Amino acid sequence: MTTQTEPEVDTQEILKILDSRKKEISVTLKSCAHCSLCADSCFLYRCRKNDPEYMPSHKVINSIGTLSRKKGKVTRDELEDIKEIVWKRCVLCTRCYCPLGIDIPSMIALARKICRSQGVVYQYDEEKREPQK
Amino acid sequence: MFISDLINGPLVRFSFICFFAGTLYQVLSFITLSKTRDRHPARQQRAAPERKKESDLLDRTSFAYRFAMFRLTVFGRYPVMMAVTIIFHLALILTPLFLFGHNILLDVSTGLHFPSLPESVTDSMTMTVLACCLFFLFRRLFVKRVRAITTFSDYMMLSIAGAPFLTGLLAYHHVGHYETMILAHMLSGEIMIMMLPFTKFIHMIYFFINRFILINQNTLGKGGSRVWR
Ligand code: HEM
Ligand code: HEM
Ligand code: SF4
Ligand code: SF4
Repeated sequence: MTTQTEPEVDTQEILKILDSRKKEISVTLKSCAHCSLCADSCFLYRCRKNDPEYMPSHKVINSIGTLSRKKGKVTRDELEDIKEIVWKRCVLCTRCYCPLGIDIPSMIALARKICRSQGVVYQYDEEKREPQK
Repeated sequence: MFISDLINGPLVRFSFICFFAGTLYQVLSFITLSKTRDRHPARQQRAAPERKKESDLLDRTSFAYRFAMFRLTVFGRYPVMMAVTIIFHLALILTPLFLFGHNILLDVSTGLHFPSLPESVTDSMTMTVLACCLFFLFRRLFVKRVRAITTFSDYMMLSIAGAPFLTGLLAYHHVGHYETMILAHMLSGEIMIMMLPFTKFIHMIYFFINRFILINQNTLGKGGSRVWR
């Protein structure tokens, strides 16, 4: 019997995507004042009883922020966590409002692209329906 | 004393050079890394089609409607925070520019100076800035959603912004040893000026780029003209 081994994460590939939009990412992460004024503009934040994990800036910081801080050296588990953030906690509706004009959806979309490049994709057909909390 | 000589003269000039060169660098690198984009041709040609006005159930000019719409904006959702942040930023930028003490030094070294506000006014503005800093600090410590994204750098940012005001206030009121306090004030002011274009304070430059130049869903003004890459 063969045990299924998880494929390695291709750090170079991730780095290539990150580098293609380097300045944009660094400026986004730097200029975010961590003020949380974007919270209420996300309908998911409000539907989920104001859970901070659904706040637009929280999602960017923990997806693109993590990837860029670790320079692409993430494990598959970490990519799976990022997958949860960028697919389950954001629907790219582009309604979020940041007074500093940070383009949150474009960063989430970029994180999705990086996940996809590693074959980490959200499978809607495998979704377990849980009762709404 | 060597250190005080350094802080007194060369470091002031160096920090201003840092600020202007850094700002120029950030603006130029934005321009080289972005490109202009015209509006989509289809959108340019087609004027919005005449629509027959249907009678509206809502009275969109009523105060109730306007107030309900206002409640949806960031000012309506976080009125206290927005009021504090506007007062904070106005006082933060205006106080050092129109401060009597600063204008004297500016006049001595360049021959030019801004008009000065009465010292009692700038003194209260200084205290206002410090009060706002305290408000931000407590918000960071006690509001759940703010704490969730707070990192060490946020506390650093608050201290670096607040330090010149605290030391300036103490020096003005001659609390403690004046010479030392003024040195601490100058040093903290220089550090802040140097850091403006490179650290989280970069939002001062990118606020305008993000909201007026880059095209995105929240662009103000004419809707922006450039995109990244
Ligand atoms: C870069 C060099 C700087 C120098 C040489 C300098 C020098 C001075 C001097 C001589 C005073 C007058 C103290 C007195 O009246 O006895 C003063 C006060 C003050 N400075 Fe500065 N300063 C600098 C930077 C800054 C910066 C960057 C800020 C703020 C962003 C700042 C904010 C203040 C404030 C708020 C006061 C007055 C406090 C009060 O009246 O209660 N200074 N500074
Ligand atoms: C014209 C330029 C500026 C604009 C439009 C601007 C705008 C903003 C906005 C929208 C926020 C988020 C809301 C908040 O947390 O208060 C913010 C936060 C902040 N800004 Fe500015 N800013 C400008 C310049 C500056 C400068 C020159 C400094 C300091 C030297 C500064 C220091 C801060 C600090 C410390 C915060 C974080 C407050 C917190 O901890 O919540 N800003 N700014
Ligand atoms: S994304 Fe904008 S509104 Fe949200 S925390 Fe960052 S600076 Fe504040
Ligand atoms: S794009 Fe994502 S983060 Fe922004 S409002 Fe929509 S779901 Fe929320």
